[in-house]
Order: sequence, then structure tokens, then C-alpha cells
Amino acid sequence: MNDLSRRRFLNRMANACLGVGALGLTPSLSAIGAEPGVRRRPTAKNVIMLYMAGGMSHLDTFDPKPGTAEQGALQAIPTSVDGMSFGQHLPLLAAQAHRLTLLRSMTSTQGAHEQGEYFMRTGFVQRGGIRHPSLGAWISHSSPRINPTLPASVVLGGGGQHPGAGFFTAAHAPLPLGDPAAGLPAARPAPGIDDERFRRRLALADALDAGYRAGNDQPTVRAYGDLYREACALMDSPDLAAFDLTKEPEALRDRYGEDRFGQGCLLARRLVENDVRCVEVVMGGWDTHDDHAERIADQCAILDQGASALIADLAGRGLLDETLVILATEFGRTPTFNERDGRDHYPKAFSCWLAGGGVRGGHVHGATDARGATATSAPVQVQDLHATAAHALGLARDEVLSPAGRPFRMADKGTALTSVFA
Amino acid sequence: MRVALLVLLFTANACAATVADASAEIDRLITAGLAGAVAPPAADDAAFVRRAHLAIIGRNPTHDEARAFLADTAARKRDALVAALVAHPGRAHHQFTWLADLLRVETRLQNRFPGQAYIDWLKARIRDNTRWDDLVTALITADGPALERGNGATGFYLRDAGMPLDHASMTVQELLGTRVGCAQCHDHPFDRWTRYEFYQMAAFTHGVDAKRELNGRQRKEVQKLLAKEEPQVRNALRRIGESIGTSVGIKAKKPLTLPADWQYPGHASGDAVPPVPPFGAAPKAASGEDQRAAYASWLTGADNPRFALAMANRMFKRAFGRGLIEPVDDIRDETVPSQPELAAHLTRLMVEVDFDLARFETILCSTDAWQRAPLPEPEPGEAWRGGAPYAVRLSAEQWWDSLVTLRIGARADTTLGTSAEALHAFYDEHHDDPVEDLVALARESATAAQEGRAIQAEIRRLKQEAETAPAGEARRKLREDLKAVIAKRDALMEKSEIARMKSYGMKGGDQELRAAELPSPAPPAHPLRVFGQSDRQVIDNATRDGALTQALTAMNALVDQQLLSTDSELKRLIGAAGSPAAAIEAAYLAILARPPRAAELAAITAHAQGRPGAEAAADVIWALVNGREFLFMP
Repeated sequence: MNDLSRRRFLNRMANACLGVGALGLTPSLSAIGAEPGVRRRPTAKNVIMLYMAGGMSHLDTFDPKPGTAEQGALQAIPTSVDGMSFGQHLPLLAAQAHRLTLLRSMTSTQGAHEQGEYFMRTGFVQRGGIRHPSLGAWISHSSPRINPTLPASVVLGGGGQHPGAGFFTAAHAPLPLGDPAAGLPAARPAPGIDDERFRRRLALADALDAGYRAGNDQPTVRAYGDLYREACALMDSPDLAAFDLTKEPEALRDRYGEDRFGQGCLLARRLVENDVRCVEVVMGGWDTHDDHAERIADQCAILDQGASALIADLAGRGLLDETLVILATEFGRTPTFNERDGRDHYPKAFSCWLAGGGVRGGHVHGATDARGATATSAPVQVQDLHATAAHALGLARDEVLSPAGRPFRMADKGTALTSVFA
Repeated sequence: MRVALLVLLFTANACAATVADASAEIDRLITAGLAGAVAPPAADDAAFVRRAHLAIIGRNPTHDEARAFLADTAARKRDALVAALVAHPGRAHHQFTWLADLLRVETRLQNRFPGQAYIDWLKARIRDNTRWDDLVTALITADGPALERGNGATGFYLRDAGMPLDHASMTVQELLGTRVGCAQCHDHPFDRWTRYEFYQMAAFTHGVDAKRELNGRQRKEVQKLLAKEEPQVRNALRRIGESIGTSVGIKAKKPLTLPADWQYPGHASGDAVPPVPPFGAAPKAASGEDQRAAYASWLTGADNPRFALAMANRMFKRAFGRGLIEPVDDIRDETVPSQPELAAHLTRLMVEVDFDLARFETILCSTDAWQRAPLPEPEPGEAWRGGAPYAVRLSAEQWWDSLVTLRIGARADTTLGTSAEALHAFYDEHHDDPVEDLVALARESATAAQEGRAIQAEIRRLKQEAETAPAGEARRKLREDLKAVIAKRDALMEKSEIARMKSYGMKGGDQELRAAELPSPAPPAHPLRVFGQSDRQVIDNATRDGALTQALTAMNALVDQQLLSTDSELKRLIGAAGSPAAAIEAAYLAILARPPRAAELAAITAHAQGRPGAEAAADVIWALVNGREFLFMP
């Protein structure tokens, strides 16, 4: 076997094995892939990542330092957990604090947006010449799809910089959706085409293309036949309703907030309910270099309403136990104010949180110093957050080879935070 | 441009004869490589006219182009078509897409530098058929203000600003088809590259980076000046600074030194590294001087065996569906091409035609092998063998551009889309302005944004009221008001977004623009991305893999909306046909470049029974656009 076909063989074998679970791996591969402390029994089935794009100020949200010069005018409020306080603009999440594990000692090496977002979404530092898979793509690649009709992962909102499938095939790419209220684009026939005419068109297309298919019988041509069948199955499927927010009672839609983030949270709940494994909901606007106080108030209002409604709704339906919710952001913001009363990028210390999926409630992991400037205990790297998600999902993080033959594993060298699990 | 040995053979007036000779030699080698296996028969005229258009100018032939070729009775009409298409204005779009994938060209480079001037520069070099070695030399030695007219090549460095080592390794991967990324951190595990060799090579371009300054004043100084300005003014000035203050040049004067994690004996962390090529020799430049001319001369030089091979192999893949070496950017010393003699010959040919890519393409497409019926595509990663092109899926751009052609006809080839003209004009007018004048300009444009902020305040107020209002009629009314104001804001944002695009010179609706005229890359949910367009972040990472959303898009979002709308060229064509049979024939020629066959006509007649003619024609168009025949190379 030459080098190329050896690599392809290994790659294909890894793919095939990972598709049916880690147990099928050959000893040599799984020996490389083994990590001490990996829990084989998952505590979560799905992941919802609430992504705060722009860099969410930790001091003004989940790690307030009331009474310090660094905090400024913002007040802290008590939460449903004794001794835990949040920034004043998060009253609804404060009432859900007993369901959260706060990670107050996050730390990253990336201080620019693009690199920071990439790191948080993939668990890998961005390098030229390679694109690492995002969390949803890793999950899709490492475990079987539960609902074969719906995509394995979905990204709601955000710009064009998402790492997507990374070096995995397009089949593992998260489906990007802009407006959650618009549903799945192109999932219904064009206006004016009723189901009967659509079926007649399909039959005609099949008849007219039959000669070509017969004369060009190759895997890539056959693959499109399968894709068209899958697409038609989806169009006919009751699962399509997962994308339809109008199926929700008006009062519940209101509770989530009418902005895209709130409605995205609601759509995320509907999708995980239908066994989409990973949904990322993006909320922008956290890059508060100026107008900080005013913008934090606006941002928090949206976050507070959407995220608190999501946690409460998941809990009320018994879905929180099987769904790991992660609030993530690329970095925090400086403890000191700049000359324009804003806060600048600060990767050295920031906050994220986890909820559901087997993690403890009302728990604080790690802490920063009195100024919110340094993680003083149990620092958490971005890779650790990914390793923790893998741990909750029971993924073994075995080594896979990129098409260029370079070895990678989910969450890179991260270590799962086993102490945050109940 | 170097003087080739065979310059006499390739003078302009000897074109026809030499193309035929050069093609015949390639055919001889391909036949020898078949080792007795039978090659497919010649493609029929319909398949050929469609393939030639898709492969050379990147789109389907129009109805008229297809019909004219099928009716042509000239003896050597195929070679004539190839020659005409290589000189066709539509080719620049296709060639640009190909280079944009290779060089990772973005409309906004790294989301912070203007890339449009780079795009325009590349397109202009394609149009004037700049030789590949000269184009590469211009990229490597690019210097000065990004928006000075004619200086778009600076985008080559802006693309990787702040990542000089990554840039060095990607340059080698792009231009020499050789992966040295591993050697950035350790000796290459499979190839001969050592980490030290990598650093020696990176030393050639060391210190070259993006510079940001306004009229000679450093960024920090300008920021200080702005500290007390309103945020909108600062944002506006940042935009202005992006356009007139970005340049490329030598930023660090110190030599490249080995990093802190240096792990090999013989050298130590902190050692200065002199520029030395990994093989062959580079002309000596004085130490401390810009080494890039020397580097370019080594890269493109006659004693660099990889430069011509890498491009010849890429061009072969473009025409035949696979390279003689796969992957095309992982060539190593021990690599054996699938047809070694052919690869060696094509490498020589690339040098003989003096890196004239248009000529090289003409020769490849004039071979008998290229004009045969296609072969099924082999396993992913397999190199080419077999005597004919592979039936690969169309690229996202070929597919999209064919739809645009169905909608607006050959007008699709006109340059309608983005251009850097507005940016150049702005640079011309303002690059000498004192910073204080630029601040005044920024203030002016910032006031224009005030309206948007007023609306934002209104939204906040209504939101608060709606939250506190008692449920019922009043609240419902407030929420309706809120929705209306949000729509107003969205419209305003849309407008400002368009205003931003306008500053890049974009005209016309997106569905009437070929892919190369749209922002690079297209937004994530655009049909181009759905069908696998590269995100232009990683070298050549466009994909032809299928995805379920492709089927949904093709079935439900395009045909009725874009091809059957009243202003569509295809619709006009169908409407102008005298009879139902003529309408069907017109649709077939426009979409598949061939007339319908008897069995197809029978199926269509059965389908159309008792339906209005327009409806039946629409269904036929839908069926053909959603068929595999439309999606794969003929």
C-alpha cells in the first residue's frame, strides 16, 4: 500500500469505526485515543451552545465584583443560590442559578475575535492551512445520528466565519440558519406548486434523467439519487415541524423574547426535542469597547430572557437532564475601563456556564481574583470545555486523521472537568 | 519571462500547427499509458460543446451557442471552439474562481483589509494573460499602499497578515504543490523537510507584513487623537483608514530567529536564520535588503523542478478531473505520478510555453483524449489514468453560473459586479489629506448614522412599554408597533449594508451575477455555499460532495423563482417558440445543449396531457435542472 492509500485506509477505518462507536476500534488506534477518566456512559444526549459573539464582559454578567473600582456603577444581585451573585441586568437567570454550574476561571490565549471564536467553536487554535471541525461536526462524526431525517447539527445566526465541518466531509457540516422564525429554507415547494404537481415533476425528472443515470453509473451520481430521496422524505416528514416556531403557543414565544436570539433558543429546544444532537445559537453585540454600560443593559436583557426561558422550558419538559447547555464566548473584557468608558478584549480570565446534561446545579467552578483579572483557582482552558462536552456525551475522543494525514482528537489536549458532574 | 529553447516553435503566427503537434504528442503518451486498454469513443458534439463551455469559460453554453455549434459543418470545429473559448471574455470569471480557491482570495481579507483591489488585479492579469511565473513574481514582490492603482497584488500578503510563518508554508503549498506545514514545528515525518530548512525558506519573506498608518502617522497616534471622538466617528475613520492607510512592506528589520521551542542539535533558540532555499540556489541579495526578488527568482526559476510540475498538474486536473499526482499539493521527492512520462512531458511543456496558461489549456483541450466521452470518476484521491476526462460533478461556481446564464443569457459574461474603482477613487482623492481633514470627513459620515440610532432608542422604549403593559389589546398593539419599527430598522440596516457594498461598486441583483462577481466567499446560506463553494480560508477547500440542502435548494428555491420569472431569458426563449415541440427543444438546448430524444419526448407528451403548455414547459425545465445530467460534467 502506498502512503496515500494507507492514509485513506486509516481514515476510512476511523470513520467507519467511529460511526458505530468507539468499541470497534483496533487496539492500536484506541490505545492512542484512550484518555484516563473518560466516562463511557453518557449523561447527555444533546448539546445547546449559546454563543456570545464579541466577547461577553464577565464582570458585568456572571462574575461581578461589587464595590470595586473595576466594577463601576453596575450593581450585583442575589441569585437562587446562597452566596452566588450576578450582574444586575440578569434577574431571570439569577432565578435559575440553582440549575447552573458557573465556570468563572475560563482562560484563553486568543485575544482577537476571529481567532477567539474559532478556538471556542473548535477547541483548536487557528492555524493556516487547516480547518478544524466545530463542536457539532465532532459530535456528528463521533456518534451515530439519532434522527436520520434531520441534520445532526444546526447553527442559528452568526456570520460567515463558522468553521463548520472542518476537515470532515460536508455531511458533517452544521446546517446554518439565519432567521429562526423563517424555518428551514426551501423545505416546501415553491409558491404555487402544490404537492400533486411537485410529485408529477419528480416523476418527470426521474423519467427524463433515467438514461443519463443508466449510462453514468458511478457512486457520485448515485449519491445524488439518495440525497433527493432524503430531501423529499424530509419535506414529507412530520419532523419538519421541528423548524416551525408557529407551532408554539404565543405566550411561550413571548417568554423567550421576540428577538432572534430568544426565538433561536426556542428553536434550539424544538430541535433537540427532535434529536438534533447539537445546536449553536449565536447572539452578537458583546464587543463593548464603548457605550459599555448602556449596551450591557441591552445585551443582558436579551440574553436573560432567552436563556432563562430555555433553561426553565427544558427543565419543565424533563429535557434538561439529557441536554447540556453551554454558554460560551471567545473572551472576557478588561477589568479596567478604557478612556471611552468601555472595556476591551480580555482573554486572560472570563466566564462561561453549563446547565443540564448531568452537571451540578448551583455550583461554581473556579474563581478570579478580587479584580476579575486572573483565574486564581482551577483555571479552565477552552479545550477543557470541549473535553467536558465530550465527557457528558460519552464520546471517547479517539484519534482521527485529517485528509492530509495529520492526527487530531476532539478537544485536542483538553481535560474534562469531571468534578462539575453531579 | 524567460527565453525558452523552443521559442521558434511557439511564435504567435505558428499557433495552429504547434497546438496540433503539441496535442498529438500528449495523445501519443496517453495512448502509451493505456497499455492496450481501450479508450472511450469520441464524445458527441452536444456533450463536447457543453463540456468545452463548462471547462474553459465556467458556464453552460447558451441556447444559441449550442445550436450554432451543432449546426456547424466545418471540419475542425472542435479545435476552433476551444481556441475561441480560451480567448472568450467569460473565461476570466472561471479562471478567477480557480485562482481564488488556490490563493484563498477574500473580498474582505481576514475580515479587516479591503480585498477588492486584489480581486480586480487578479482578474486583470487573467485578462491580459500574464504568464504564471510573472504573476507569481508580482505577488511575491508586492509592496506599497493596497489601494494605489495597479497595486492589488499586495492582497497576497494582507491575506495572511500577522501570520508570516503560515504564509511562508502556504505559499510553498500553493505554488510548488508541496506541504511544508509540518516542518513549521518539527522535521517533516514523511518528507525530507527539516524544521531548519523551513526557517531558512521563511527568512526570504521575513518581516514583510501589513502596515496600518494614516498619512505617515502610526495607528496608536491616530487612536490617541480620536480618544475623545464619538464612537461612530471612530468607526467611520477606521473604515477610511482601512481603505487609504493599509499597505504592505518590510515591518521588522531584524533577521528571523529560531523560536523558543527549538528542539534540534546544531542550532539554538534565538539563532538568526539566513535565507537559503531548500534545494537549488537563489541569487544573492545583500544581507538586510529585501530578499523577495531573490526568492521569487528561485521559486519560478528553471532549476526549481516543482514550480512547473505543480502548475502543469493542476491544469491537467482542471481539464481531466484529476491530477496525475493526487493530492495536487502534496508532491514529494519520491512521488511517482500515475503516468510518469506524461507528467514529465507536461512539465517540460509548461516551461516551453513559457507559463502561458491559456496556451497550455488550449493544447490540453485540443487533445483527442480530452474530446472523448467521459469516464466514471474513480475513488476519491485516486490520480488520473484512462484516456478521457472524468464525469465529475460541476463545481458550485459552474452550476451557479449556468443558472445565471439560463436567466440572463450570454450577458452573464459582462463584468457587472464588484469592483475596487470606488476604493481607488477614494484613495486617489484623500490619501494625502492631513489626518485632521480625515477626522472631519469621518464626522460627516458619522452623522448619517444618527437616524439608525434614533430608531434603536424607539425600539427600546416600545419594548419596555410592551413588557410592562397588561396582556390584551394594548399589549398586542404595542407589539405590532414594535414589529413595524423593527422592520424599519432592518430596512435601514439593509440600506446601509447595500451602501457598503456599493462602495465596492456592486450593481445588479445577486441572481444575475456570476460567482466571480459576488463577494468572495458568498454568504454562508447562499446557494453557492450550499453547493460547496470554498470558504476561501483553506487552500482549495471547495467541495463537490452532495448535501441534502442542495436538493432542497435546487427543487424549491431556484427554478420557479429565478428561471421562470417574467424577466428570465429562458422564459423568453420558451415563449418565443412557435409550438410546444419547439419550446421543449429550446429548453433542452438551453439546459443540456442537445435536442430531446424520442423516449424523452414521449415522457414529456404523457406528462403534458391535459395541462396548459406553459405549465408543462415549466415542469420540463424544473425536471432538467434537477437531473443528474445537468449537475455532472458531460
